[in-house]
Amino acid sequence: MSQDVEIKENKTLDEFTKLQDLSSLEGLGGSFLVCPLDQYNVFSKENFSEEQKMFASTAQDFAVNRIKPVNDQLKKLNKDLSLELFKEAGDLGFLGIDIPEQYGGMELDKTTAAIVVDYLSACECPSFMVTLSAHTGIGILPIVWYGNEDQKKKYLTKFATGEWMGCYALTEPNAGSDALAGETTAYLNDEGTHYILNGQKIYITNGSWAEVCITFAKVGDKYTSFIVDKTCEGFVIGAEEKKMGIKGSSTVTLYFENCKVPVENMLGKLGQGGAIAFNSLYAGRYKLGITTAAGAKYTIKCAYDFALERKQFSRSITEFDMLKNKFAQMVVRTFEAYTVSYATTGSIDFSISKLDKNSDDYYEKMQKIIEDHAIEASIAKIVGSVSLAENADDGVQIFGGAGFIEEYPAAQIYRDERINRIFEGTNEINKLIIGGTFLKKAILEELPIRDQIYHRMEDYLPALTFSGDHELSSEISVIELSRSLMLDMLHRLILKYGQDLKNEQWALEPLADIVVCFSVMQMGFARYNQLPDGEHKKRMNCVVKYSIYRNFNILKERINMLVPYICANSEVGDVMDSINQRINDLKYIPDAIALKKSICEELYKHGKYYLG
Amino acid sequence: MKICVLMKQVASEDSPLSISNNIIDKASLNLVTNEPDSYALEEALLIKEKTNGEVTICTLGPESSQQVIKDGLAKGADKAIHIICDNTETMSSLDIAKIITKKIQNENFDLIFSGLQSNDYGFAQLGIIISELLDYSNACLVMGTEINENKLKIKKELENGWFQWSELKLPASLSIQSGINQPRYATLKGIMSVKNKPVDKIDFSELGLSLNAGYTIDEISIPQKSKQTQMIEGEVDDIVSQLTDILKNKIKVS
Ligand SMILES: Cc1cc2nc3c(=O)[nH]c(=O)nc-3n(C[C@H](O)[C@H](O)[C@H](O)COP(=O)(O)OP(=O)(O)OC[C@H]3O[C@@H](n4cnc5c(N)ncnc54)[C@H](O)[C@@H]3O)c2cc1C
Repeated sequence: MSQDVEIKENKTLDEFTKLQDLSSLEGLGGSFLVCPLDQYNVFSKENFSEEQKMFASTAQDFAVNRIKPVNDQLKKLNKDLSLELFKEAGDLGFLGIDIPEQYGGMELDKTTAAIVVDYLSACECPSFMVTLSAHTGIGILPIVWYGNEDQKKKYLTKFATGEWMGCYALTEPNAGSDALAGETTAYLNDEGTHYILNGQKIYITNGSWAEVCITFAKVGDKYTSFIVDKTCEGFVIGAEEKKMGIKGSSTVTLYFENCKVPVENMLGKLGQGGAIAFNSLYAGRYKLGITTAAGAKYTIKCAYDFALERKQFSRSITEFDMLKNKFAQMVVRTFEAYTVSYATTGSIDFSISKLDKNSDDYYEKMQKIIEDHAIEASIAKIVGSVSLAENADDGVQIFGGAGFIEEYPAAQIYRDERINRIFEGTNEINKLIIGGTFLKKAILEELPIRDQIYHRMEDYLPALTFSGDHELSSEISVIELSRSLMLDMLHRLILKYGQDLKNEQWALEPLADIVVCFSVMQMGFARYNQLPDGEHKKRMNCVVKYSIYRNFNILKERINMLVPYICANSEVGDVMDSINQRINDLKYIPDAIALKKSICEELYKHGKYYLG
Repeated sequence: MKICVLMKQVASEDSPLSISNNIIDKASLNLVTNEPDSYALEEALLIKEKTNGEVTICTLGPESSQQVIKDGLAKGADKAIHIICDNTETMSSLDIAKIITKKIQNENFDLIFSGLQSNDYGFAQLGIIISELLDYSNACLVMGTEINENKLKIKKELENGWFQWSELKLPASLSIQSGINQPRYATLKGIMSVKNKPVDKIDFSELGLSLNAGYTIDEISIPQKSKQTQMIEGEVDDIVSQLTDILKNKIKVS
């Protein structure tokens, strides 16, 4: 390529950039989709403030020294111990992070909330983490965001200390993923003093331990939220479910049998239940991304410690390359899960920090920001839960027969892990959200996605401002080409299906997978690229390279699947030829095995996940 | 009651150790608060809460020792003194005691607490020397404290599971036995209060002391962990008498 052409390409991009000023998209949900790598930053573990590092260390202290030693007693339901630990967590401030100061909380940023659950996860007790997270997330947030002054005073002060536990009851026998199909009803009594609730909610975490329950019922045809005290007449707690995993957490059915709820306990407005139900779930998702990333991290340690001691063929099984292969991939997955989750909290915090805390609509705007990050929250949930699932599966395999025996830890990790792909919206539902949000942001022009589609059709691989000898220059091209391919796919899908795309799951699922893979590449690259030179960056090099390699492969595979499905028969050959041509032009042939070898070597040096 | 707690930053137990030219590579160490010091801090905080007192943390060490101070302030100490010094590991306990004494002698602390020992060099001398330099009463291996109207009663650990209660005059310097209390965790509120608490920072060279360790370090090495096996050979009677000799006189089985 001649010098002239290069300059020309740069200029085109400059002009385009001025037009769009893409860097101003920082803090907008989905900005990663359109911001070229040279205009994109992420928040990551390396960016913790001094104070955040201290929050992390006190959470870890408490987890390791207080909870972990009694871990065994939480393998089955142990109400007294769970409540005792819960209360202590409250005393330390871990339950009040999202609660405003005037109600006894601290109202810290979303990243800090994430850090606390991240480092508390060092207790290696998923049951307790579920108990705690259900309280601090879906239990508390609805009242923080929608509660009136009296409700906040009455409930939040006790939620912050852990004196009261909260729960969130949305799911019903006939309303799971289709949450708004709930059949629970409420009507105002003749005296106008109480709403009378009838119905049942199933699989409710903390249900039998909580003093307070946030629930939802139809008043006429208006889906409405209520705060129900355990002491309300007609509130009945069912038996504990027998579960596959997280057996130390409480999960029950709650029955409302002419349950008398005072009128002042309606949460938000009549008919606002749907918004309350969904908005509360977004925040839970990226936090689940964090706790599952942490789980993936501890699974590595657990498998490594075992493997090191286990000898076969007169050597430690860690010396076998097939196990090294597993360990290397476990590290990469953990890196990916952490990267996307903290990128999400960081972006949300960036936008929230620009709000005026004293304005009346502060919480409304905060929620809008969180809602705006729906796509990131779902990505964090999927990447985290899948990373942990795959690590847990590899973990069992590394343990061999002992992985199947309850005396060893791998089996429990395997059972406890499974729920993460189901609750907080099944991963399928989260893929629907990713695809749907991508489509919506394009159509409503919330992001300049259509402009980018137009631009990328002209120039599939625009030159960026990185220097030519950037150590990841081929990866940069891979990611930018992937962006073009992703936008191309969206474009074709919109042309073919229009708004109906959201109902075309055969096409929407691969599209969502492409977005997930792309986000992991983009955010992983940004995390790496912004690091100062040094040991940490060196260690991350192979990890980020392998991560890009593997996600690019999945992305290509999904495109191979999509194109024949959505293009006319006569077109398929040409479209695939031109896509393959562009991919081949990259001459991207990394030595993936060499990368995995180095990753594993580094892991063995540290004896645990080594990127934070 | 004004209490000073001496605290130190040390390498964590799981830090990778690499030694070259008799110098421990500090860059690779994972630095944490010396664990025995956290019992001293906890004891001080308990007394503070009972007597409406004030707790000052004092540490001597490099810039990184800020971490120790912040941890302590987050747990409830009121203020801190940081004497900055990059190479305390070549100093003797006496030198360190002199530096600290020079800095705190006019603070009129009623109590000075130190941990039992530091987990890195393990001299266990500092508290004793400081009490000598400041002319404070002293007790080591303190298992419990009781304070009543400026009277200090302490429980000391003796040999063979014996304890001793004694009364000390104030001011006093005590080294606190590990495990005598349950050190608290920093609360999030505590952590957030750190930035508003005063830290008096001074470079140790400003104290104008001339120091002389009185010894030099010839060699630093990592202890050998290997087991030793001794083969006893000879006739059965020989073996038996050698073995009984070893059991009786070397291993001292009683
Ligand atoms: C241990 C545990 C704790 C829980 N805690 C709570 C809690 O605290 N509060 C609460 O309200 N709920 C809670 N739940 C319920 C949980 O959120 C639901 O189980 C979950 O949302 C799935 O709903 P469902 O079980 O009805 O499955 P269904 O919705 O029936 O789903 C069955 C399958 O169909 C798929 N599916 C459904 N709809 C679609 C679609 N449109 N497109 C593609 N695929 C689809 C799903 O992905 C899934 O694979 C908990 C569940 C468990 C097991």
